[in-house]
Amino acid sequence: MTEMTEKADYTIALAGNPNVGKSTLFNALTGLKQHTGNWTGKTVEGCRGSFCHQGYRVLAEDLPGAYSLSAFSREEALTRQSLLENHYDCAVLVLDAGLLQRSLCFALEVLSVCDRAVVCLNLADEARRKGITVDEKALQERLGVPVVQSCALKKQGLAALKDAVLAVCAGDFVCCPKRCLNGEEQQRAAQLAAACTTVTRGKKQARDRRLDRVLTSKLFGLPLMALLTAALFWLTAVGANVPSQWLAALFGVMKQNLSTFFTWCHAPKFLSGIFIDGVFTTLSWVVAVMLPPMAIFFPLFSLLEDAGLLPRIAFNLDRGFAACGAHGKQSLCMMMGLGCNACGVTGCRIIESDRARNIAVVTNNFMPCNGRLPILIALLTLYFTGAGVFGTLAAALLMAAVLTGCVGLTLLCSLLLSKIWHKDGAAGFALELPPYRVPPLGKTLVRSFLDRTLRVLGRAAAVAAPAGALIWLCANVRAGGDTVLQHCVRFLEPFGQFIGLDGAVVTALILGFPANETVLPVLLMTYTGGGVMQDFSGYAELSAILGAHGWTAATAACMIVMTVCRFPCSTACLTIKKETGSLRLTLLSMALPTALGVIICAVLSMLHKLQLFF
Amino acid sequence: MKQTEQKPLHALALNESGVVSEIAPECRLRSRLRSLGLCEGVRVTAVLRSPFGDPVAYEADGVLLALRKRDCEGITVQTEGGL
Repeated sequence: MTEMTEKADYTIALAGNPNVGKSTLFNALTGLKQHTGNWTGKTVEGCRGSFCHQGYRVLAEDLPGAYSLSAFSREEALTRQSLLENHYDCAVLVLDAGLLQRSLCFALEVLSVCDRAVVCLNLADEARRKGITVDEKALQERLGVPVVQSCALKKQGLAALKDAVLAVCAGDFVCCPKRCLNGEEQQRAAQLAAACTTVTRGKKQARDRRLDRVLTSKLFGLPLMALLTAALFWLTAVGANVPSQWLAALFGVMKQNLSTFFTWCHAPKFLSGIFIDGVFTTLSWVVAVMLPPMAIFFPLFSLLEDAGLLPRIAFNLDRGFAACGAHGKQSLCMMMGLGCNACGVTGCRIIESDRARNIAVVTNNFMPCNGRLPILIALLTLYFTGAGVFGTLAAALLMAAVLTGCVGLTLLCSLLLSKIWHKDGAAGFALELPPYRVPPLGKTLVRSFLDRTLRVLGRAAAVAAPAGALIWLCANVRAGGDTVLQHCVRFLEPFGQFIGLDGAVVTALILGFPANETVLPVLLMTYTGGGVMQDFSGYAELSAILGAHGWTAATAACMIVMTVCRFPCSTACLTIKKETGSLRLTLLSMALPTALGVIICAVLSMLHKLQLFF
Repeated sequence: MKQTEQKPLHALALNESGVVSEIAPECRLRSRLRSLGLCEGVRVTAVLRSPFGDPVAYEADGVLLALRKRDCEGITVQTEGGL
């Protein structure tokens, strides 16, 4: 380190509030790749690097972010000590041009102990977007030190900054900081900010406010959000049908070719069975069912996210969540959970408080994901509504009722968990409502497809392949005349009857752990006694098979409950483990819904048997 | 004569503004609020009320920030009562 100092002509330090882009600026100046992030407190210890400009070698030190020199925290103490003791040739005070007043408080404090400094107004482009322009000439005159605007991320204004720094270091620019009395910084900062910034509360901001007033009003707020959610699901459901069929057809052809290939090379029957009927069928199934809805749902969701609408939803609904000890942002995780619970769980990262986040993670599974929604729709249509236009409408209404029930269960469990975890203390709620923006269409679509859809699909496929092999083995390996599957079904029959279902359903639910999409195919395979998972060609066929095995409206009702209240799929469980890092929470998120589902179903079937219901 | 009045942030009426005079050290959000631009000396305006009345969104330094009433208790603002 001393070696470096000796070689350098000048030493400078970068100081400023947290999250004003000091590290980004530091990297842009020195060409180093220090990790940066959009959160406060990234740099905890000083970091050094150097750059050459006009033939001089300048050693730069990135100091931890601080709000003041009064040394509340460790980082602030470190920054204060460095500034006072290290006699820098120049201190670069990094300010957020969009939050000038706050940044100036700190800058004024530093200027009162530091003679030579350059003020760098960073994030200038972001400020401009907010309608804030800073007059750097006026500020320079009032502060007595050079003021430069920059945008470190886009590497703008760096040359001017280096020029100013060298001028100060070499003494070409004589700083005469206009100091203010200790304790008067805030007042002075407010004066300066007011004098040097022009805020054009342009049409954009006025329009945003008007839009906000409508979207968060008592009258329109909630209905508009409900409409938006409904539209999102309608688009997903309708849009996914056609590509799903294409994919299924494509995989059908591939399967045939694979079969031909296996026959051609005289592969043993066991091998072709486990590979084609087991692994390939399950894998193609999961992809065909999962990919289209996710490829539609997540990009649409990302568009809403980038437009700035989602925080408004959290804002509107927060009151209800607050009453349950949870966080308004949980509503967003729940919406994502309707697409995929694994994504919903990952989405819980946006909640800052640990307790509220854990609540959101554990209860996310109550929102039925894309893999479970089709089961719900099929059962509602078959057993509770007729066909035709009115039937479809009734099914949609019933679906809304079921989803409302899911939200109710989520809130109930959130309340329960917040009571249990009350010792952890409630955390505060601070939600930034960003300006509305027209999302960059192409970029958003590609990014969300790559980030969310493909990642989830990859994870699901990785689990579905071995699961396919296992399912095939269960259905085809015989022990004592019956298949393993039949043994399982017989063993689970009493428990199945207890919760108003039967052994086959319970077996299918358990075998559906790797992917929810496989529950119905496995069930049909068990019922028809085949050795290969199968789809139903239409609701009529499904109805016939289920009816032949004694299904009634009560069975369907119990199945609906068990579809909503059951352990999350393996992908979601792995995600929970990864996100929380806690096995206890993972097990809890499996046990809580399952226990609840078993209890509700047991009560329902008891009432049914006593003829009190249905 | 300029009259000033001290009151907790949540007591601001819609579209009323005041200057933050104190954020209590025990305020759970203290550091988070600071990083979002809400600190002593900044002018805040209550802008939006959510459909159920709580939380309320405040504008401070160009940032729109939603806060629950409960969390606003430690934040004192100074308003210019009357004219």
